[in-house]
Amino acid sequence: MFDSSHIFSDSFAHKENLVTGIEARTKVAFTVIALVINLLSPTVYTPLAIALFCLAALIAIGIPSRLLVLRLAMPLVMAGVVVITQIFFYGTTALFIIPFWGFNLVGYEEGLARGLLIMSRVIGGVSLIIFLSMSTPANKLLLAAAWFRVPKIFIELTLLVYRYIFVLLEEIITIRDAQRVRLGYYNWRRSMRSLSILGGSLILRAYDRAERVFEAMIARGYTGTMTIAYTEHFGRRDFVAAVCLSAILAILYLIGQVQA
Amino acid sequence: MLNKGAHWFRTHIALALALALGLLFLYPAPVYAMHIAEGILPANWAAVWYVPAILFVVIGILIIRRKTREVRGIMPLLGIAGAAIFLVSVFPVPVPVTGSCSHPVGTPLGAILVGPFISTVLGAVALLIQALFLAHGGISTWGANIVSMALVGSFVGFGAFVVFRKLNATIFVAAFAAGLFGDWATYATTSFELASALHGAGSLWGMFGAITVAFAPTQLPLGILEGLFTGGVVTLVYQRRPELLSRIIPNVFKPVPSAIEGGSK
Repeated sequence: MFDSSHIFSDSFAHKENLVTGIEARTKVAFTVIALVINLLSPTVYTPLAIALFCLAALIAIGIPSRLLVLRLAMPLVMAGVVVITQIFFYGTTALFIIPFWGFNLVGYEEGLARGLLIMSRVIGGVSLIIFLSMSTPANKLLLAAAWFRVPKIFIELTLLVYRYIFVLLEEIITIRDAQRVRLGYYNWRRSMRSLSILGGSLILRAYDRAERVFEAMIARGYTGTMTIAYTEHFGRRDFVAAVCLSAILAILYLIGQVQA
Repeated sequence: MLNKGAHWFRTHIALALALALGLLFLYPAPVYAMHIAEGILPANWAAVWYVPAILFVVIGILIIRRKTREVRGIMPLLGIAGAAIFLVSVFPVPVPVTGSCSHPVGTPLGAILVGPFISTVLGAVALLIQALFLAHGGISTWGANIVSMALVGSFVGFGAFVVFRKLNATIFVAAFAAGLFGDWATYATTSFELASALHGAGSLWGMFGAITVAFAPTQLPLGILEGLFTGGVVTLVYQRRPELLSRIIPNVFKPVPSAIEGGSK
């Protein structure tokens, strides 16, 4: 259920290295602009170059390649379905014909090209997102978002949700283990019943905990809204990093233009 | 161009193929088919779905802001409820036919607990965290995912719940309907979002049909399971702490003082 594949990406972001050292706002801006370039690119080369850059940077700072493959695998399942629908729906130039239960299935050349483009955009886009989230801790990311004028309530809510996911996760594991030793997941019927009880208990405990957390926050001077201020410095090093990333963006954009 | 008959023929072969594909994709254990991955939607369609998403999230934020003035403890409450809904939406629900697991949407449950507008905001938060830290969904497709999962899931689920309660259904049945219709509506919306962006020169509804059929073998039973799960959870919450639900939906619940059997109150 909550095995190692569910480790949040930012558990790697707390280490000190070249990529995590880049200031969060710069990385957020880089990722957003690169995502737009990725989506607008007319050829497969730009997305693949983006993926190559992001994955190389992540491997260089010591992210296990197994985890990168795992993160890419799930979106690719959906992309696979999309590619197959594109091959058989899009275009007019027949590429291949498969006899299929007495019918002929026609695959189209344009569809294949479009499918591959979408597939490459998925790889490029997902690589960019994990590049951002594996090198930036959630709190820095959200403070950067606050600097970009994202509503304060949204930031505060996201910080709280993010924090309590881990707390409630421990409660889930405790309850589930207790259910399991009482044969709560013995068959499908009992599994569904146990899951409902688990979900219900989780909600009830969440409400109880919210009351205690609120009291604790009041005791520490909470007045109804959190104070969120972006305090990080934009030094000379950050300026150099921003220039380098801008140059990379320009190169990525040009790759698409040249090939088109 | 192909004539009409040939086009019908082509579409239906594609449907058959999509069905076979759907069966194939049943087998990878956890299915995240609901989340549209980053990069699948072209830029213009990604932008189109952002419009309703931002509109409803902003309305939700304004409602929360108004409530923070009335109830000061609402932010920690919503934060922790949001975390609970996030975790519920990654619960592995066992699908009996295949032996694999799939995930509920969770927003119908959220809408019953905190109301549809706030549930949309919580859903948007959960989708952002999933997109960033788990690579389910995406940033450019965040808008589309908010519309299909947070917005449609919340409002259809909430609507189904209210309608069934008005028809004097029990809490379990009403919550079952909320989960069932919320889940199916999400699935239909996701299919429509994919089809409208990807049909190209072909028929929109042909593509919609193909995608719907491709995901039907997992999503149809999953809707029923989401219903059972939502029904179970809401009934349990109502039995133990009825005031949690009556505060948010005042007129829907009739007081049932003897409903507590072995509860904590």
